[in-house]
Amino acid sequence: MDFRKIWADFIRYVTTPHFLIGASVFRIVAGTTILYQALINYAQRHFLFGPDALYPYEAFLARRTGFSIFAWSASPVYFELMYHLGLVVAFLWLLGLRTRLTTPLNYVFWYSLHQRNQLLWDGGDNVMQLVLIFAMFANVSAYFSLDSARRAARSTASSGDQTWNQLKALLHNSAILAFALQICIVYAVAGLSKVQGESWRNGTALYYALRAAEFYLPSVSDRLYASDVFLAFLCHLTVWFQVGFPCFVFLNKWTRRLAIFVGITFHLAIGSVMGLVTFAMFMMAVDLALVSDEEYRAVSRLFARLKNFVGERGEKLVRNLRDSALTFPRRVPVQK
Amino acid sequence: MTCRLKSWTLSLAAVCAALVLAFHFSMTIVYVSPLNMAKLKLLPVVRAYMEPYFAQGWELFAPDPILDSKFLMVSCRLQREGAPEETPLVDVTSRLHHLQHNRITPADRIARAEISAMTLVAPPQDRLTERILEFHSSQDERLRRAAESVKKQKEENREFGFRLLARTASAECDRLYPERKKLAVHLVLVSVSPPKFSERHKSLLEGTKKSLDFGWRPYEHVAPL
Repeated sequence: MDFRKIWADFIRYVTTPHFLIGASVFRIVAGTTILYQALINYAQRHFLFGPDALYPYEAFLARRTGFSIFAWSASPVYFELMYHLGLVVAFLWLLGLRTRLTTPLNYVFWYSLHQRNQLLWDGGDNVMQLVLIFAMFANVSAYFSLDSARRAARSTASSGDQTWNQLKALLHNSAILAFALQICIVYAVAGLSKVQGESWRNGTALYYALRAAEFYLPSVSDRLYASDVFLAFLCHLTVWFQVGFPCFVFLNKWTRRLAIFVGITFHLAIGSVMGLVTFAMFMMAVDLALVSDEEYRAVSRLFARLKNFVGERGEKLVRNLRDSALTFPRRVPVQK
Repeated sequence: MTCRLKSWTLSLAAVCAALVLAFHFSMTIVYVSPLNMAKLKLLPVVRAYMEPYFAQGWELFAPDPILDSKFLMVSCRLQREGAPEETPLVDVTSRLHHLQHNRITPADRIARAEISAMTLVAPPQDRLTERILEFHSSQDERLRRAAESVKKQKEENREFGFRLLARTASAECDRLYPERKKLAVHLVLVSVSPPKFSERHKSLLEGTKKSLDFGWRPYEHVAPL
């Protein structure tokens, strides 16, 4: 076994950037969700986050656990300035402009808002809080961004020192690995905690979750918990998926794809049925970062083929209709 | 940069990155693991590293999902000539839940703020906390101090929860009676346990109801809801 060769191959792999498309998709989904969160609460911003908010300002100063730019002044003008600046930064990050700067800035504004009222957040916000720190080391603007458009427009003659690029790629790959490890911990702990719960073991947990007034959706929740077999199946599938997720992600590409597909399906259901929209979006953003560049390109090629197929069939149908209209007699001749 | 130096640089960087990741996620795993003897010994070091920026908890609907639906009933004491007027109790939580049926809504965050405050006032049972509180009459001074500290924390949280609920009620009174001067707010917390699984066809309101009357609290000015 030639260890030098193995090590050289390993170094070559980790200093070549991977999951670049996934990182950009993460930026778009997470950025959209952060912006959505700020905008959907825009009319209530004073009630939720302002100096006279539900959570008293002096209690915020005394009880906060981390930094917050909202602690620097209780002035309503200052609050408006910071809230709107946060919106602008989130929008610029979503567009992928200077992400080396806007990623940490976005984190600062978003984390500050969370500290201002710590009662409002859920697991999805907790995941994003952690993952945004890792994202500061990733290249989240390689695709679908103003940065990538700017890079494409510049001359390609000089793309920087090769060693520096390799070091940047190493940082990026480490950040994506951190995404994967963090989400594995989330699912594994959630799953193992559920195993200890009697209602998850006997298959009734989802009934009680769906019955809570804040998660109940008329006509949908009732149908879901009407069937005891379906409910028990869903409960156990949830636990199996969560506990098995770390193995599925790292075992091979097929199990990783299955894990991501099941994860996205689950979160779409959680978002629509239980109303945990931002939770679902944040979790999906991280799951989508774990899809490889080749897989995204394969999906893109599939869509292109589908589009061509539908396009060709559509054109053929229109041609056939036109031809049959030309040959169809305009008037039925009257028999004399 | 010579080839050899470049190779060493990249190798060193890769090893550093691996060590940083290994360290961080080892700390994370200890932090999120259930309380045990080993974790207790490492806890001061782990918490110093993880909190506040890497703080996390993943008991999502675990070990069992929340069973009770909580509703806040509010009555407002309004100023008028002669004796103040006390309005009937109004359920201010249900309308937020109805708004949440449309998934694109700010109602979920407002409802969450209310429910979190209710949880501070009436927290779910926690075996560990109950065990610690049992030591309040222990001979061991360390255990007694631990029990006192936990009791004090619990009371502070409860009082803070009351204040948050009073502010919620104040905002709701402002919404319901915008033109009137408010003097005080009355808080009643209603907790509904859903029918058991075998009776799932019954409506939520047929479940077990419990109400806690927290009396009158001073009105506080809050930004409009």
